[in-house]
Amino acid sequence: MIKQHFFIFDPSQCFGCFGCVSACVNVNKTKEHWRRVFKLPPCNGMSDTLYLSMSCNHCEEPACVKACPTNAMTKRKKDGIVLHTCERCIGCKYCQMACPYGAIEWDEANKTVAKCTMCHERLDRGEEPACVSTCFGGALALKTVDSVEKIDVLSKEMIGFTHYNEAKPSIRFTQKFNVFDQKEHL
Amino acid sequence: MNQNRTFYTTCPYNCWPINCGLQVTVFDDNTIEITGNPHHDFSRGRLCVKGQSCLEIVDNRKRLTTPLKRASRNGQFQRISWDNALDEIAEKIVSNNRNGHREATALYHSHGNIVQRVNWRILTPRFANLAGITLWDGNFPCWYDVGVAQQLTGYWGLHDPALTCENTSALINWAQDPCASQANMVPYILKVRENNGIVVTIDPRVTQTAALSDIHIRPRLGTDVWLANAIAHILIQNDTYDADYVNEHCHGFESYKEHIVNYSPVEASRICEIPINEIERLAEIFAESKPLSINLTRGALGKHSNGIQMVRSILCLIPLSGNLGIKGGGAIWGEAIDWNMDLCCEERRPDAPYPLNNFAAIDDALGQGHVNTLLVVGGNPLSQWPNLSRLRRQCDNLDLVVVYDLFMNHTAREAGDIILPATSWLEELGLRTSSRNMYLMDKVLEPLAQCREASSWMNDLSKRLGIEDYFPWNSKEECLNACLLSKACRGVTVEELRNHPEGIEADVPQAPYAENVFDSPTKKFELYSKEALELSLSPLPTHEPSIEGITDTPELAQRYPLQLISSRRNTHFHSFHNSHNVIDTLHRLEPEPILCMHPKDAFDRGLDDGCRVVLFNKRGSGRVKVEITTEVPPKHVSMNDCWPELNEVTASYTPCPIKITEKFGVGGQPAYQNVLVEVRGEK
Repeated sequence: MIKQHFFIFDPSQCFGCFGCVSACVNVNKTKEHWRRVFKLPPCNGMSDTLYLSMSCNHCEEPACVKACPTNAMTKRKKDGIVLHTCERCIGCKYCQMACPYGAIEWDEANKTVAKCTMCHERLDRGEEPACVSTCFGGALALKTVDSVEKIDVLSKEMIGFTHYNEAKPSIRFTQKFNVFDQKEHL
Repeated sequence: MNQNRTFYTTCPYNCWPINCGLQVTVFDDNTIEITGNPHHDFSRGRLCVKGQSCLEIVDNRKRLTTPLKRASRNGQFQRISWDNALDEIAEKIVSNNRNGHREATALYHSHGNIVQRVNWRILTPRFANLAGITLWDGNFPCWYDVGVAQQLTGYWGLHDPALTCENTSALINWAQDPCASQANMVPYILKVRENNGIVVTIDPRVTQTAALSDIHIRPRLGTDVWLANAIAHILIQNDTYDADYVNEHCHGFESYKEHIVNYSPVEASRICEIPINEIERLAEIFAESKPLSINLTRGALGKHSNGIQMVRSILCLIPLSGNLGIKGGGAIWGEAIDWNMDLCCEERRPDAPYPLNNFAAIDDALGQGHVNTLLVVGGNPLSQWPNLSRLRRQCDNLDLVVVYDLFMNHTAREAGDIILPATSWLEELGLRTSSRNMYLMDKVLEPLAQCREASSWMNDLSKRLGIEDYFPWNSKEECLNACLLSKACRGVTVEELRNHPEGIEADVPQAPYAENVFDSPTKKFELYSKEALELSLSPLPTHEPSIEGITDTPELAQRYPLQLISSRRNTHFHSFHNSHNVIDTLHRLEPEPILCMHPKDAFDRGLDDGCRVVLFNKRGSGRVKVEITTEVPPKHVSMNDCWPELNEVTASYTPCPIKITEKFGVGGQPAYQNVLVEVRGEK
């Protein structure tokens, strides 16, 4: 079985502050926004705006890795992190086209693509990814390979996010508070 | 060998009342890393979107690095030396003084200066008092009318957010969106829910905070007095109010009770445009949840022409429901820690008819030409004050405008004659206070190029004005230690604070007003205020029609049918850093003003999501991008308050009478929320 870290996202605790986006920029010293926060307006009977924070989902079967002609995109065996090696990248953008989640950014300065690394260097030091560690709402979490057996109880989809089986994105959703129903009916 | 050095400071934004802690690491190669301070008692290592990108403030090629001057407002800026710049400013101040018009020189200091709390509370007022010039504090647009309401009831709130949220069983965010304006409150708000408490948000808009709340009530904008008084009506009618507390510690209950009869829930439901059962449910929460706390951290309600009454009506619900002076009860509000205020030297301020710090007085002084020189310290009036076209005309008539800031901003570009380069918060030693704690803001870097801290150039300017003792200390550290010599600060020293990156607790009560002695003439909580009556205000919390509203001014609403709500997003802090145009990360997240509009209003005008429109009324116009969303109610539009486009159309109505400011020192918030507008698509 593949060893895989998972991002866990709880829309009931995210309030769209963009702290995760900025933390990623700050820690990774990049100009591009590897993580993005999508605003999901009130719809389908929900009374509130929801937010979805998403970066590269480090898919179990990553389309970017399959599309890359130079093996610049690779998947690490020990934790399933999909990594991009700048030196091998020829800037063809095939991975960008292949990624079903639009998670790969173009780095104009280097003329290569760039993406979330799940802060693997921080993980190796025993720290959380930047986005997870700064989240005021506690909406973002990381489930590491060690605790992965409990992943099946979590939802693979949420409104605004499709789980493509061809790719098997490593992101799951929870809800501490109920948000998909209407607010307390008064 | 590893020579990395670690410093602790706080975030350079002024979220109220608590700023997150920063940990700054300077590496061997002089590169800097900024992360959250994991020791900080409130933020615990987390930072919001602005805090995470604050290194971009320091290390920014667009920083002002040298004093600049231009001969005419249309001309180009040229470099000049600090000495020449200060000579010119001093010459103008001296000439005003010699002509017997000390008040004609005004110093306006705002959030940029408030970053350094000591500058804001002590060092800048000290300069203005010793020099004998007009002083305007940038807090007036934020919360000054809220302050009047607090003064009139005798109850300032001041409960600590963390302690309150940990202990409360119901948190009411009344017209507050802390998720957008104070993200570090969120873990504490969620804690209320985790403890099986209830979180209620009262806001016409669907806000980020509403999304995290159990209950969201959406009254029509500006009808809060009706909602609060109807709740009181139900509590009194059902006899579910705390009679013992009210009888013992409140003044004027009989008059209040008589007054509140007029605010029936049925009528309130019609006026607030919410179902009656929502009002009843709220009243039930007030009656049954104990302790209950109301979050009034920001001054959103004060931005209504009827703001003083709105806040009073809400504050009255706290003693009525018996939630005063108890842990987890009361109103969460600003900071309460007093420095050594003697250092402000108020007694040495020469007499002169200084225009008061009330927008009506400011507007009048500028309009009548009573002020001819404006020193703007860390502020941006030509973006943040209302009615910009009028303010531009007033600025045109000023002889000299000096702007001290980190970056070129709207005021500097449009009206500045002399520009002075400011130090960032990492380049000076400073202090912060929150509602209970004191923190050191350590100096990490030497000032960039010719940037100087405010107290340093004010000292040089003072000497030119013949004042030798503005800065009598040998170092900034000695100065800060002197500022900390107060009862609340307990004479803590900079060195002690340096050893406590988690902050040191000040001498302020955990549950304010636990002894039930209030700051009012009767020493009770005043439901009825005789003082208010003497100041030509209603002595009881009363709804008054707004000066510009869909139902209140129907004729005007025919021409301008949309009610504009000024709001806040996490990505911006007022117009800091030229509306964040110079901070790449933030700029990318909201690069231009966005006007939120209901789908029905957009459909009526044939507007698509994302199209550019002109927002206008009789006062002015601005270009904005439309976002179609049901987050705003029909006939309402909302916009982030950081953009000058908003203030092209806002009003300079200042309904708070000047005599209130004379008496209380606060009052006079512009009515940013009473604005009618229309939009038209661009051809």
